[in-house]
Amino acid sequence: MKKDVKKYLLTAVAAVLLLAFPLLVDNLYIQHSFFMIFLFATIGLGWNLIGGYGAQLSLGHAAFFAVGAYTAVLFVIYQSLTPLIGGLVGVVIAVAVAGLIGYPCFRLRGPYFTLATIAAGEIVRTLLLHFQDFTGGANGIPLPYKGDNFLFLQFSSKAPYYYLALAMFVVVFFLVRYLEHAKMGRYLAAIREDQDAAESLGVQTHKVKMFALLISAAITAACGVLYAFSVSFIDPDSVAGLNLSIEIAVVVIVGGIGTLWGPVIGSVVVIFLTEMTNLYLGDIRSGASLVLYGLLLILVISIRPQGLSSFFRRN
Amino acid sequence: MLEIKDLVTGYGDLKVLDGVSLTVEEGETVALVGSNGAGKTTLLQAISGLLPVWSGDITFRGQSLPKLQPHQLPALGIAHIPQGRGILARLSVYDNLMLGGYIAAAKAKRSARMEEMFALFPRLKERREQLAGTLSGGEQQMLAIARALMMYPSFMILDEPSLGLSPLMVETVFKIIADVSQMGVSILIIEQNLVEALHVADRGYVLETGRVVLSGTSAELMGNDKVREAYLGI
Amino acid sequence: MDIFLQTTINGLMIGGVYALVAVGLTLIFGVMGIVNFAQGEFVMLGMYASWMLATYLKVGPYPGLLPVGLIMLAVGYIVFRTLIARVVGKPDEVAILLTLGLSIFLQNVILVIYGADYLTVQTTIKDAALNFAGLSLPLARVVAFVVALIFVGLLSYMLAKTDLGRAMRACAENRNIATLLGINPKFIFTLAFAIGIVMAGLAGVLLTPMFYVYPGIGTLFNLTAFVVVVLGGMGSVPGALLGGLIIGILESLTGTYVALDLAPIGTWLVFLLVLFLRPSGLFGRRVN
Repeated sequence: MKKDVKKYLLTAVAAVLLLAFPLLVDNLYIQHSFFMIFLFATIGLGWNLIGGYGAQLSLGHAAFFAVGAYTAVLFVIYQSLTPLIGGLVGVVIAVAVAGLIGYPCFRLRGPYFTLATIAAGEIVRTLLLHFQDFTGGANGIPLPYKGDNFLFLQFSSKAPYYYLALAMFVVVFFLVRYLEHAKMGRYLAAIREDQDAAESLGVQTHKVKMFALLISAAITAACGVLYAFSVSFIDPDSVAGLNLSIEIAVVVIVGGIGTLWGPVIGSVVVIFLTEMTNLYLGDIRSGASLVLYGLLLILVISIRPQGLSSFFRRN
Repeated sequence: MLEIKDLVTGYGDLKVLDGVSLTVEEGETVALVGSNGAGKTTLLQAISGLLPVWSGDITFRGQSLPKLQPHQLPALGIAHIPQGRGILARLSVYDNLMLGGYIAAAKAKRSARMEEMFALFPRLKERREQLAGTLSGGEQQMLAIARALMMYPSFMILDEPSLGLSPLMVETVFKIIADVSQMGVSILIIEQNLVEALHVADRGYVLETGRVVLSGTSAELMGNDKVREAYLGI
Repeated sequence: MDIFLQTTINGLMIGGVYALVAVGLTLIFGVMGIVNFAQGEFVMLGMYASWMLATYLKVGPYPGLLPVGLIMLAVGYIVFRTLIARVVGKPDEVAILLTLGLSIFLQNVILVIYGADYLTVQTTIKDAALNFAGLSLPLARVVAFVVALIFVGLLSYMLAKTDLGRAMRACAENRNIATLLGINPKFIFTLAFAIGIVMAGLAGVLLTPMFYVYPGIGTLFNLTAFVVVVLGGMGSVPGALLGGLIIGILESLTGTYVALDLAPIGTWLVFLLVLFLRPSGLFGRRVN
């Protein structure tokens, strides 16, 4: 009984702190960092469905992120349509794209699957660059500023973005937690252990993996929408680039692939590391943060491949 | 020559060998028999260093084998032909034989030795440039033995040489094994085919669930009722 | 027709260099089963090394082949011993992630040291061209093609006819059997990895007169190398050669006849087609 009380108390305190955070901390940069932490934690939770539980390493998730971001932004620019709808369309398109590439890709195993996801991501990025009359090409699209306008996800301060990211994170967290324990989660775990064995036991592996990918794509696209409106402009390299896909994967791997808290811990560590490095070393040369980031990945894989969250699990 | 004392080992948490002791003297041929799962292949893997030893010792001419790196054994004169012949299917017969003479001691005499092997095994000479994987089971076994001979071994380990071979081929293979023994090579042979094995061997051990339960000369083992009942169905 | 021939031959020549990078990648995968996601970064390191030699020691690009080769041999040895050795035999994802981390690390270390500027090497060869039969072939490309092919040829010879090559092929097939023959797998792996890295570095040297040198250039060659290796078959040297030439031509043709900036898409689409239809590639073994 006492343990449960302690848990609820801690959760309550954490919730209060998180909700009050923007009021407690005024620094815009730190607010932005926390926004990014929750954003990446959310994307990571989505990626984990296919990369962790499903054990298929995708390095093309930036494609979904970009589809969400660009669709929402283009609808605003060309149709003056609120991203609340435009973003939804973006999510639907991303899911469709996921279905399209997932279907043939799931026949591939191991490195071949990963390479195919890279190809998919790069194709999206190249297409975005190519159709520049429509998308602005390499120069990107600046977001029209409409002042404080919730319908267009424009706010004059960082706090609303933070709350939206936090809300998204909470929803996705509980969604993934539910899936983990539901049949879907157990099927995915079985596939992860041994796909062939799972199939022989009657698990429809293709359907399960596809389901995981579709949800993953939806989550990632939704985050892309939110991200697009929190920055002043988007371009193919920053939202569809391989570096973003890698960062998503790294967040989850560093934190602990296939675990619920892994993406969260990973996001905290990676974002903290990169933002802090940018802050203190950013003026020396950009790239210093990425050096540490690469080093972090190397160290985690070499020394503790289960990720940092394994330090906290009692398993 | 080869002395195994109270060997205990296994895979992960699973103990397979529970205190095995056996010897092979210089010039001898010794057979190791036992049903599947008794631990015969595990024993050979332990000798060759492919499996770590939990306790006990394996010495070869006084040298402790577990203290060496696995790839250092051939230099001592130990040739191990694993189950399934262990030939490199994607390399040619020629390449396989050349690799047989990989160790420094054998390299100098390699071409001459290969000619000797071709004289002994004319079928291999015919198939010199062919990929080893395209050879028949019997030819692969000959290749495996020829390759082992390329390193001028003083001790040869054979794991189930008759596996998958036709009765005629089995006879041929065992005749070759007998010839190898005549060359002065000591042999440790694992076999399910008891008759052939004990025929070619001087002594034998019976391994059951990780322990040596019986040992003696081939004649003694062949005459033993329990052995005959368990392995010959007589 | 002239344009077609010109485009094809230009593509063929750059394809030779792609083949050189890919051959290193396929060797590493074939012998020890490691997918090296940092192969392109070693090309980049070769380019920077070549640039350094040219700028500070006035060593021309081609004489630079030997010193860069030696440097990369040492680098390959160190990288293998410190990082790669412990993940040999582990699932593919581990090597992919480790080398991915290495690639990010290397790219950004170079960025921090040299900055993001596009560097070039001043050589006379850059502007020279061979003109005949109505074609104008940049000399730097021709030399790169010939030298790349020579190295691929040397590697193939080594693999087919020397003891070391046999030992590598043995380890590629079954390292336990190789061990039983007296081959030291760790030594062979180290050497194979180092040679694979050397191939990348040498390709970098050959590319320096033709491309801008900047920290991110490795990524382009990395992805191309993977496409080539998948096309040719993971672990096949002749496959890497043929694949490299095909991809070079394909990329060149797509760039000229479709759109210059869409050149990579042609490659990607072929890549995906191969992955879906015949993942084992042209020469690889059947993948399950």
